[in-house]
Amino acid sequence: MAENIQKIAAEELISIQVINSIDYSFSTGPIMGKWFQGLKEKKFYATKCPSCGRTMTPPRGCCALCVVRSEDFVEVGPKGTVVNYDIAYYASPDPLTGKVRKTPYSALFVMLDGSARDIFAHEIKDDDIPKLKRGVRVRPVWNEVRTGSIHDLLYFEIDG
Amino acid sequence: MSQKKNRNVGIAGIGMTEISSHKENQNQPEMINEAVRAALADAGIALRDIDCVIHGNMELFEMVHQPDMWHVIGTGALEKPSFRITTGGTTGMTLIAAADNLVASGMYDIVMAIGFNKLQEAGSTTGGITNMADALWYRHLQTGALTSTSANVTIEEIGEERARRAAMKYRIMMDKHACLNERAHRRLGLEYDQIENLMKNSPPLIGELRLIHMCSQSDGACAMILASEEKAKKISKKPVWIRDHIAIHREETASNAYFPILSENSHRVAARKLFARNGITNPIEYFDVFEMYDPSAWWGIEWLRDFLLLDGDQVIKMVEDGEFDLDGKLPVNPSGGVTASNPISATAMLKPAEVALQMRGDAGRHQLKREVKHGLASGFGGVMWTELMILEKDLDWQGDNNG
Repeated sequence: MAENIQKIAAEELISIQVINSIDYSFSTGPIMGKWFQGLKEKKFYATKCPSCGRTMTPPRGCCALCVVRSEDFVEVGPKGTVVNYDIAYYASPDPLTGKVRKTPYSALFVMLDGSARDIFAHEIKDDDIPKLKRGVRVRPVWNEVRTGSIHDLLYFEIDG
Repeated sequence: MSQKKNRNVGIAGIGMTEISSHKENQNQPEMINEAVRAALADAGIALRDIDCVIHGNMELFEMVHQPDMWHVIGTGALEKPSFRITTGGTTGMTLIAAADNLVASGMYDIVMAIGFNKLQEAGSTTGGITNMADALWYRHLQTGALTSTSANVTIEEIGEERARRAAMKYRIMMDKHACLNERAHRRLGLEYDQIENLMKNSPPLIGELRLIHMCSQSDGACAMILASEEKAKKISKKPVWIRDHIAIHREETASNAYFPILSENSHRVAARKLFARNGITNPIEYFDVFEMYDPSAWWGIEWLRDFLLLDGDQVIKMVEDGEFDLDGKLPVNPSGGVTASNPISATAMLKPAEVALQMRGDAGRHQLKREVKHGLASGFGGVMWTELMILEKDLDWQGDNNG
């Protein structure tokens, strides 16, 4: 009997369980800083490439295609057209909160009015998920309290 | 003209573990060591013959940082020059590209590249991938590697029924290949008469993408030994030659993957440039096998069109006609592909490894009946990051205009 117990103990495969929880703080820099400042005022500030003319949302300080500085801002939107979307049924964790997301939720790719050759990503209102199609017009719905974060924009909803 | 190489480089040894959903019987260095020993045995050399070791994985999955340091007992890199590479899903192919560069340059004669991931140890692969997205904006929106955007576009182009059927036929074809590959992780035994049932009943993950369409998360390691022409011929009876490779990035932001900001995605740019500089005008005619990094069946049917420089519904017709079967016009993924086996940072390395085994005639039950002389292998990572590689059985392409 004692021998048997020893044998089982020797064969037991042990896994070490670890849960990591680490706080981070990311600097926005001046270009993304202007973007988040704009969200507080319910405005989308894109940068525009002086060489090819495309807009960038969220803004980048350099056009990766032309390899030139792009530090001039233009206001785009607030309405736009859906170019593609994802409706997630799989309950993946939100790495910003650690919480499992409520499903279904959406990832929405929108061409904001006045922008050129770049799209913008956010979410659609849950009630509008069944009506989502490429080409649909959408408008932003803003958070009452805006602090300069992605949550200043609650979601887009179908316009009309 | 292919990229200028100081000298030719051959694959002289290949080792891989069985790919599985869980390997609690081994820790990370032990699993790696199994692949290392297999590669050394395949090449018929010892650790002392290796000049340099390149180690690669995505550490955010296992959260073991500086793995090249902690894994030295498994890699055998103690007191050897060693580098670590992490390029997302592309890692396995970047490892081979880097090993090729290191040997071709003359820096080292024999380099061993090791790719692995032990995803069962990761709490959530999808959570890990989401956590990789740009911290200032996209991290909140990223849905891991899951997306239906390519399915949405394919459906718009060719219609719902035909698109869904083609994607599922592709998935079952991959499973049929995997069922012949004793190292493949998921071997489900699917049949083509299950197409309609799976189209309706496989659990939806995101949009049109269902569980059955998507790649697995696997544990496994692959090691490959690359050597200069002189050494490769001495070591290996059947060295396979790396002719050329190219890396193309299109990952300025996450949205690049979901909307054609540019007229071509990274796969098409890579294929166009790589084939042009090697004088290959008809890739379907030229290549005998294509091992493609296909994270889902929907991406599979979309990306084949890009890599093979096809237009319209040509590629859908080829799927429908079985042209990518093992006995088809261009066999695709005789290994079963990524939907069958996905130990992520070994995954892209399994692509050139499989091509090389097919060229050597050592693939096993899924060995192609035709002679495999010219092979293509692709890796994919990030949001639009392509590595594409041409492999050759014979050293006879130089000075010729093949294709």
